Amino acid sequence: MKRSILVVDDERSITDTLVMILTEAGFDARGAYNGLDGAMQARDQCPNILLSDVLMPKMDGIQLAIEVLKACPETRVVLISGQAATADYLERARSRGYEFEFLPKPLEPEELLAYLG
Amino acid sequence: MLLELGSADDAIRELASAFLDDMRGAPQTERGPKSGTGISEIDESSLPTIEARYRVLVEQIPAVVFMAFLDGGLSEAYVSPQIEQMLGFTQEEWLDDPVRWYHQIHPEDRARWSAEAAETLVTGKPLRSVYRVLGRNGRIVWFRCEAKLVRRRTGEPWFIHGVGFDITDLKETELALQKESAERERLQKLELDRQIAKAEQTESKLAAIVEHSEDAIFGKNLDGIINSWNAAATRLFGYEPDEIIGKSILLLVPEHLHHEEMEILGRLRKGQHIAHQETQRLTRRGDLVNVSLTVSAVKDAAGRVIGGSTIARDISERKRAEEALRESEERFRTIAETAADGIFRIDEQSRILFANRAAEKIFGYTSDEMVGKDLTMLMPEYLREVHRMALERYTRTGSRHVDWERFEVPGLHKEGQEIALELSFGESFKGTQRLFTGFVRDVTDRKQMEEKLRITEKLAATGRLAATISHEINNPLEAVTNYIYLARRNTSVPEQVRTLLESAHRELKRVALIARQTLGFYRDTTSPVNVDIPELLREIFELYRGRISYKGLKLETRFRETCKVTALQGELRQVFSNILVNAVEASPDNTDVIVSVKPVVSSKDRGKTGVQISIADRGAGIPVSARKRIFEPFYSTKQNVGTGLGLWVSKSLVQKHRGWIRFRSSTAPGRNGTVFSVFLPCNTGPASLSRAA
Repeated sequence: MKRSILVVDDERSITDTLVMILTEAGFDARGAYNGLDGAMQARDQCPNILLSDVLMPKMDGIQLAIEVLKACPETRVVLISGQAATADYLERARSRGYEFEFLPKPLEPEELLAYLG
Repeated sequence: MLLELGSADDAIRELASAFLDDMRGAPQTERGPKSGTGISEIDESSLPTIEARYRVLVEQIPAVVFMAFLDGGLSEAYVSPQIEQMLGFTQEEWLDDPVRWYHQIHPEDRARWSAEAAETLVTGKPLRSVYRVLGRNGRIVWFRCEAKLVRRRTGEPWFIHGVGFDITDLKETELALQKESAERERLQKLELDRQIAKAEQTESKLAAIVEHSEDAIFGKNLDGIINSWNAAATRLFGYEPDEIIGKSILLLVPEHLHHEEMEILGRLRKGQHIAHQETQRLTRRGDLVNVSLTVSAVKDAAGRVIGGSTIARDISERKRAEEALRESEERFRTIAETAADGIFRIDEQSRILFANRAAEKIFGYTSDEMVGKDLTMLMPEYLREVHRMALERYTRTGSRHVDWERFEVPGLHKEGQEIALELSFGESFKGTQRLFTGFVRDVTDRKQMEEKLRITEKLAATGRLAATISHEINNPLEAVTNYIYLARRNTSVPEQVRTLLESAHRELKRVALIARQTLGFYRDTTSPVNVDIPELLREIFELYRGRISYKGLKLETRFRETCKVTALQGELRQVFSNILVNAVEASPDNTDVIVSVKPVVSSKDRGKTGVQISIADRGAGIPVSARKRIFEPFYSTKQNVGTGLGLWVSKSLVQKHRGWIRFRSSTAPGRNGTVFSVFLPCNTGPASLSRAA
């Protein structure tokens, strides 16, 4: 059975290309361009993996992840970002008991695929 | 006073005496000493001849010869003609009255003569008498007579006969001498009296001085008994003279100082002088008073010490002033020594008079090394002249060229480095001496902190900038990376195109890496994994293959089997990328770059086992001046390339992994090059990260 993955990034080109790459790799991949959208999609159908950017307007990746985990506790959360400040967000999350995986931008597609397993 | 006559007269006397004996016809030998008692027999038949011969002799000698019978009193029978010469009476006139001679004896001497004559008559001893006789015109003649008593056979006194000499001249001389002597004595006495009077006058003057002196003056004998006491002594000690004279001086001496007084008496006895000895004495009320004593020996006329004279000055005021000054100095010193700031005192010649402990710490000298020297020793060379001129100008005109309240100036430490100082100066006077007191604060630390703050702010700003740029670049970069990936995998793409896309892909990876290195300083927060160091390194080599071959560098790898290091891969990548980039950029064309990996036991970390990664190049080497600073942020020896953050980031990442990073470098020609080494402990990742279960 295919694993489902939800890609969320406010950069459309990133979301689109990642969805294409992941689909080609055998995932059931969907995308969302903002946190709210992503949260809604996740509630509709819990993805196996949530692949999300951290720094997004309106709802950041942390908040999104927490939301998704509320509805889908089994979902694996992998956050991506190119910013040093992200670490603070992750510390914050950690302090609230959440341990999220993190990958730095820019991602090498091969690396990403290897990482996701 | 009977004068002894010369020998000539004695001879005459003897002759006369012998003559008489002869007249009497008495053999000498029977008689014994000639001048003795003349007990003799008279042969009356020989009398005329003897008398004649006797007369001749007698009339010649310069003396009066006389004879007087003793029957029925004393009456003169014969007197020689010299009587006329001596007394102005002829023989006839003299003998006219048988007792005239007695009447001519000076009335004052008669009694004495009579007594002497009577003794002769009774004892038979020769009569020797000196007395005055009155001459005819009343002239006084001093007469010395010597007469013998002649007895009859029966033993009765018969007559006396004798010789008399006019000793008036002698007597007058004698009297003159006596008079002269008396006069001399009188004059001497007069002189003595005068001197005594003078001495008394002086004494009374001295007494007046002593009495009116402001200082207490008192005298004592060698036993320490007080024998004089002036008004000032009364004022000082509270005793009236009659209360203290006759008492022991120890009354004035506090018990614990008795030994001192005994010592003074001891020295006095030796005739020594005690000058200005500061000590304490006791008043009548029992109060202690601080005094300065001067004690002189008092001597008698023979020079023997008979006592001492003491002058005691009340120095309480002076002592109080001294004490106050001492206390004030003490307070100053206490404050100065405990002050956190350096405190100096200098005089008008810029000589250091005092430096406190804080000053010692600031400049590295001891107080002894500074006191007495010129203040300029603590200044850098180029400031010394300025200081001298300024001080000179100030003392001359009173104008200052800096604000004395606070100004910053560099100082010179003993070890030769400049230190940043903040100074403030004050001026004071000690008597007529002008002093300057300076307060010094070493603000080197503060300055360094200000510098650090500047850097931190710069960093923060850069960080913010970098974060922004990073975000901006990473997104399109990611997108492009994805697009190229997709394009590469599109099967409808011709082989040529695919190759081109592969190249594009590789270049993009480089871009990504560069972006990561310079703009990232992200913290890799993926979970630590067991990293295969050689593998990691090989991946990095891949990225730099182009640059390496472009410069003709030969990359030599010496990899040995090592443990795995639990680490954040991205961070390690960043570290080795940075080091390799530096090595590649530093290497001249066609040189070697050697990368080695080996297992080690860390010398630095007490036997920790780990991996040491070294990257060596043959570049120019890091200059000595840069070596302390290459791990600093924003420090770069490469102009316009990079941000100077690479090594700073690398160091903190390595330290995060509990490892260390070092380098050796040489700029010496022929041996130039640099080796960077990184140590990472085995299987111990950063403890701050752990994967929650």
